[in-house]
Amino acid sequence: MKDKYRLKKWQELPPGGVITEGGNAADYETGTWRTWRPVWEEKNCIHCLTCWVFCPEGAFLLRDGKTPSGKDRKEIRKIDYFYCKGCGLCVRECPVNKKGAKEVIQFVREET
Amino acid sequence: MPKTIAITGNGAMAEAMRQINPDVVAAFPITPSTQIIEDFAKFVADGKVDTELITVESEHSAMSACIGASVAGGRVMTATSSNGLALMWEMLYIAASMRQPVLMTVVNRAISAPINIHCDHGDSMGARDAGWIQFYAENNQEAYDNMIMAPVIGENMEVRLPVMVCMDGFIISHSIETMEIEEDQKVRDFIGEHTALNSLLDTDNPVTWGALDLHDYYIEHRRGQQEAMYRAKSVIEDVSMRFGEEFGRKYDLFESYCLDDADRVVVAINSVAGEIKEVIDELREQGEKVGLLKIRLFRPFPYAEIAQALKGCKIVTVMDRSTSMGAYGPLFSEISNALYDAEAKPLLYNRTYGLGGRVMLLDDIKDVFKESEEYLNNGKVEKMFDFLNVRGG
Amino acid sequence: MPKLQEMAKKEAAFSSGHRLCAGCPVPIFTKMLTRVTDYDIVVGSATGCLEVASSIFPYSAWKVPWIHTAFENAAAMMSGVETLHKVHRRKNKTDKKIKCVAIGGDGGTYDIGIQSLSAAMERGHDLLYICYDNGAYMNTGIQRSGATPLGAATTTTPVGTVVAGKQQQRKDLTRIMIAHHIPYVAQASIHNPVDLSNKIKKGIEIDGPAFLNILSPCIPGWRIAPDMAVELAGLGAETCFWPLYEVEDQNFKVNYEPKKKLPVTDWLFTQGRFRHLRDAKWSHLVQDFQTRVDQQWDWLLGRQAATK
Ligand SMILES: Cc1ncc(C[n+]2csc(CCOP(=O)(O)OP(=O)(O)O)c2C)c(N)n1
Ligand code: SF4
Ligand code: SF4
Ligand code: SF4
Ligand SMILES: [Mg+2]
Repeated sequence: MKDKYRLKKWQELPPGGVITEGGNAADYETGTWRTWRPVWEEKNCIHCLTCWVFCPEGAFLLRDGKTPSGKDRKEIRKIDYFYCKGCGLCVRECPVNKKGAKEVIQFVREET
Repeated sequence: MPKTIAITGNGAMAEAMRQINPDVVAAFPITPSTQIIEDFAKFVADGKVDTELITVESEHSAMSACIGASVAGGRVMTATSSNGLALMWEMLYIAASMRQPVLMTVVNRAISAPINIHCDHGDSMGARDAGWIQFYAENNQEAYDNMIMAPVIGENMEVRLPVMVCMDGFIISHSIETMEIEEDQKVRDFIGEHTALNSLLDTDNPVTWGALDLHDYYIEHRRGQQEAMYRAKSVIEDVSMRFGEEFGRKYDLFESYCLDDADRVVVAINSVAGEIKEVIDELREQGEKVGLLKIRLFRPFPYAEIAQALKGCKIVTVMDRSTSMGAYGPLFSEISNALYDAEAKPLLYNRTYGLGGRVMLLDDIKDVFKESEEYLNNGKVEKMFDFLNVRGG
Repeated sequence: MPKLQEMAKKEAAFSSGHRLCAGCPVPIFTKMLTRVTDYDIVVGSATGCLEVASSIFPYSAWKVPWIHTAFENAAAMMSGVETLHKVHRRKNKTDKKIKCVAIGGDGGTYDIGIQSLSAAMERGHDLLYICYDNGAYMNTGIQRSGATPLGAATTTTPVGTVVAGKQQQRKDLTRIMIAHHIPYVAQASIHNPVDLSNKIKKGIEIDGPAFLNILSPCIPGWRIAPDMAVELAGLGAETCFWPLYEVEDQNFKVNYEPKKKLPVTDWLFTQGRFRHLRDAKWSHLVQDFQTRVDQQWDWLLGRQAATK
């Protein structure tokens, strides 16, 4: 664990229980909760960002890309398993998955 | 030059608020503190202050809004009494634990039931463990002076705690007395600018206030809060001294009246001290060695200093204007704590008086001293705990 | 969806690493808060699941300034924050215009916090209040609230042999807020991110008080699988249990009208908390449920027609 999260003595704490670094929960791993793993494959992905907007863990990482017609867009880069809790929401809501012919995100049991 | 004026206690507190000119006041009316807020609303309406007044729908929301505005980085004030303070209970603790220097006048009034609008100290004594610095005052001058010192103390970086300035309902809040109101500019210079700490409105440095502590941190945060209370005592001494230098009225952590050579001492809080002093003057003329220790600071409680001041006296009567049902009065408990380590312990006992505004006449106070004389002569305390002036004995 | 593309350019208000249940849909809207507007925002939460799971010391998921003090006072607390900002603006201590957002669960909003909410709205603070309605006190282990729907099993309205779940209809808080005649009141749901983001944006950017009620299914509370929150919220709109609509200066606009309104049983029977209602013994509850939903939907369409 990072030294900044070592248990502090009372003298080391700022007054009032304040957390001075907003958003530092990003240092906290929630991927350990997962028993099922979503596996994203780019091949059939239409980069609609549905999975990205719904994923409660913000686990879909983006990159800059282009639409087939050449316009700038954000695209899915990968799933961040440091955070993914394996809820399966992305698997269920991906519109390509929903149509049923092809699968973009598969859901597989975590190996234990 | 200070102005000498005749004014009610509430009027004096409204004046203090006008001079402090806080960023935000959030308040809700309740007798006998209502006039403070009414007067202040008029100051706002007349443009005499820069304050935004939030006329909330309850005292719980008053304190909640005060905490919000304080965490946002402002100097904030409110005033209340009795059930209003009781409704704030949850938020009193939160203000203190979040280390917000909120300033509040408490005009002491009995707590329901039965509903009663008159003075006793059940309201603020019930809040004594909430983590607020608590000042008490004999008259409107002292209440005003305490309030002028309050922001300097509470906002001190070593302290960062809320401050409650208490005075007696009606007896002080509604009685006109002459007192000195200091010059606005002098008061403002004495108080200085408010310094925000980890302000919520600093959007470039986003902070999180009011997080959840599990068992791994709660006690450390509480430990730090307790330390701030310890440190507050010396800050209060220091600020009181500077206040004396600036305005000529000298304050200690408590007031000693004819205490040096006193055999029989009464310990009391707030307006009754005025009557006690009168009786002491009379008894002293008759050669009786009587004295008064008047509490000014109840939290943090100055145990060692009080023990020192009571050294050498033979009997101490502690007068509580509130009850802790099933226990001795809150003031008595502290005084007996203070005396625990004393080498020569005086006789000590507790009297409850004045609940719900029951009047104490000078003769009643004389009776108190008469009783302490008897006890002293007999070398023992007959009744450790009793009510004064109650029908049925 | 161009809307999502736009949002993707901006940083979320809410980080990963929070401790909400797997599949809890609450972050869908908390992440959006900064993505829909260019204003700086300050957020205040009432006690509840979101508050607890986002701020376990020394970790915070809030990338914007955030405060929590108690359960019943989010609106009052944020009134103080908003008022101080007003003072700063007046005294030229800042040239920023910061927007305040209060967030409470249904318990903190419909029930214990309704007094402070109502008063803050009446006082006219420049404040968006967001209620995420998951239909019970989830953080304390699924007790009924004023928002719990008729018939739902909770730990304080259990299914027994003589009583089956909550015996009262839920209150319609959105209508109560409309009665405050504030500039903006809306109902949204986590299953429709475009509509949701539009409403958050409007609520934040409008001058004065705004109220947004968001349907937010709860995994253990509704007894649904962790991947079902979006689907269940969607069925809420398709059955008209949870109409998506907004009211701007008393003008009603229904944002989604299902082509074919589904029976409420389509929503009820996909959730474990209503499972017992399949028993014919409780069919009158299902009837009453449907009747109320129909009445509210008709009322809403009527208001829309009347204020066009
Ligand atoms: C004054 C007070 N009463 C009760 C509680 C206990 N409590 C904490 S959160 C909560 C329920 C929260 O329910 P809701 O507002 O619906 O939020 P949810 O947890 O469902 O997200 C309760 C009862 C409290 N913290 N404070
Ligand atoms: S929802 Fe499916 S198609 Fe859309 S971006 Fe995600 S993986 Fe690709
Ligand atoms: S399984 Fe759940 S947490 Fe994991 S990436 Fe998909 S939506 Fe996110
Ligand atoms: S109990 Fe429900 S509302 Fe609370 S975190 Fe879990 S899913 Fe979300
Ligand atoms: Mg809830």
